[in-house]
Amino acid sequence: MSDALVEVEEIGREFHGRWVLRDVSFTVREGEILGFLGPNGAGKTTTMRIITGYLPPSTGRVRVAGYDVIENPLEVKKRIGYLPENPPLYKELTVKEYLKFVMEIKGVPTRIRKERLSEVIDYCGLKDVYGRLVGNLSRGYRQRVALAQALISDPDLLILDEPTSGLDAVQIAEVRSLIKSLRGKHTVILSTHILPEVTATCDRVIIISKGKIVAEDTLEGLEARLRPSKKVEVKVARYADRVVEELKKLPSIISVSPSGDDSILVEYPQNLDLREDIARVIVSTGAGLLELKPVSMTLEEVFLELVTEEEAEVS
Amino acid sequence: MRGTISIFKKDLKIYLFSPLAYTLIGAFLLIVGYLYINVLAYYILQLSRWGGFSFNSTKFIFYPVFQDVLFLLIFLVPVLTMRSFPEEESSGTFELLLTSPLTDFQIVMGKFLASYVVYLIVLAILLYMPITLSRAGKLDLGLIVSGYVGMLLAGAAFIAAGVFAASLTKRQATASMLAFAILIMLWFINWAASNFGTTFPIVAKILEKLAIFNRVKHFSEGVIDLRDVVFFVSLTVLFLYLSVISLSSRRWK
Repeated sequence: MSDALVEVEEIGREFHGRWVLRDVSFTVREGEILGFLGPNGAGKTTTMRIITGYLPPSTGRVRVAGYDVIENPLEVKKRIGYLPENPPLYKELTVKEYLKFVMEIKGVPTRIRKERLSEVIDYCGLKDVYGRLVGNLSRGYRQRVALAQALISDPDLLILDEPTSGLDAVQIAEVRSLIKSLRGKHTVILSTHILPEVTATCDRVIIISKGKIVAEDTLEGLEARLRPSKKVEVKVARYADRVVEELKKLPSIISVSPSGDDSILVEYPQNLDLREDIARVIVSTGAGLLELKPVSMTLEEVFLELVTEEEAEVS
Repeated sequence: MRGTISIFKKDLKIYLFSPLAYTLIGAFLLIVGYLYINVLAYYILQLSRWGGFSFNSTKFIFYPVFQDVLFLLIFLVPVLTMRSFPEEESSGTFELLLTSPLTDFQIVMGKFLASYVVYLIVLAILLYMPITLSRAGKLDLGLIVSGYVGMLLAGAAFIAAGVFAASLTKRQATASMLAFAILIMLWFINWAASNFGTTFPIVAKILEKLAIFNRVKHFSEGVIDLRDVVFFVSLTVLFLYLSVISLSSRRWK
């Protein structure tokens, strides 16, 4: 056995003759936080539901800790904490009653229940709402209760489907720091369509689009792969077309393009550093160098690029 | 067992939280109470007309009461069971149940028990009828016990049928209509028996055996027939089994 906790082998899923997921394979190592990124309807939820055993795959198979999800569903389910996209809450129960119920059905041993409960209550910041009805809680608290539900059995694998959807900025920050604090203790698969979420929390990213994996890498790796060149943005005091012309004369420059009234984007190969030369040229043209800063490609651009590449391929 | 009890407790808690349960139980008790008073009034009328009785007073009063209760279950049970699965569906908690280490059987049994215990509460409250009457005179206890056994067994079968109906759909309204249809069908299945009597005697015989009406009548009359007991127990098991299948097949859609 390798140290892979989750092995997904060529799973596919068909709904009424339409394939929403096709040939998706990946593994998740123990202790890793994996981000599952894709636009809405890309197949993230379907993949997660298949891993949890809620939905059977039409093709392929999934193993968690060596157990096949279809052949040994109970062994797999014992090891999973799952936060579905819609928090699975009973409005008529209090937070305490609800979490106790979840511990019972998840098979948390009776002797450690009390301890687990107070741990999770502390961890998710639910002390103030402990005795209140779930139905009377705010959206943010409900999401925390749902997260507590996933955590309470102390599972090896946590599957979080859009854990921050519908929350406000403060709540999002809270949930993210909560997830980050899980690093090392649990293996996490997290899905999202919001990019900063991935940069904020994940070790590795899988980008999925139209039911297929389009990229799988670490954050740095992904950015590097799509950025064979470096870009700098130059801000000048007196913009003139001549500045652009002069910059283009520099050796091994890839492109020079004006952006806005007073800025110029200069692109050059990844392995060189032409900043000094660029600065010299601008000063010599008398345009007045105000600013020179490297532009890093955000994951957002990487993502868009990958997804549009995929679309171009399809069409 | 563990999972069954957890789900049962949770469902019962939610049941007893909802105004629906109280409205339902209240309405049921009101109707049964009205019919009971009606029977008593009729009894008193007969008493004043004919004087002393040579027949069984307990049977005179309780046979119609038991039959009324059993008939009214057609309306009570569908509303009682309609929430069991559709409620989980609409609140998204099905995902929690189906991704927890529970078997489909545990889930179905938990749901069944929760509805059944609400029904037991109703039966317990209805005990006020024999209890108050026993202060007025001597009752035929055997008949009361037999009638209750009938209501317990038939109720279990009906509720199992209701749980099965609820397992087939995502909507409460559909679930209750479906349960209603199944129960009506079971009650009146023997109506066609006489028409098949000469042409298809076997069909007539099967329909006759399946008839709920004839079976519950025996209990209300004070006869506990082992065949009737086996019939209702089998019917309960059958519907619970079908519910388990329906629940498992839902995952494969």
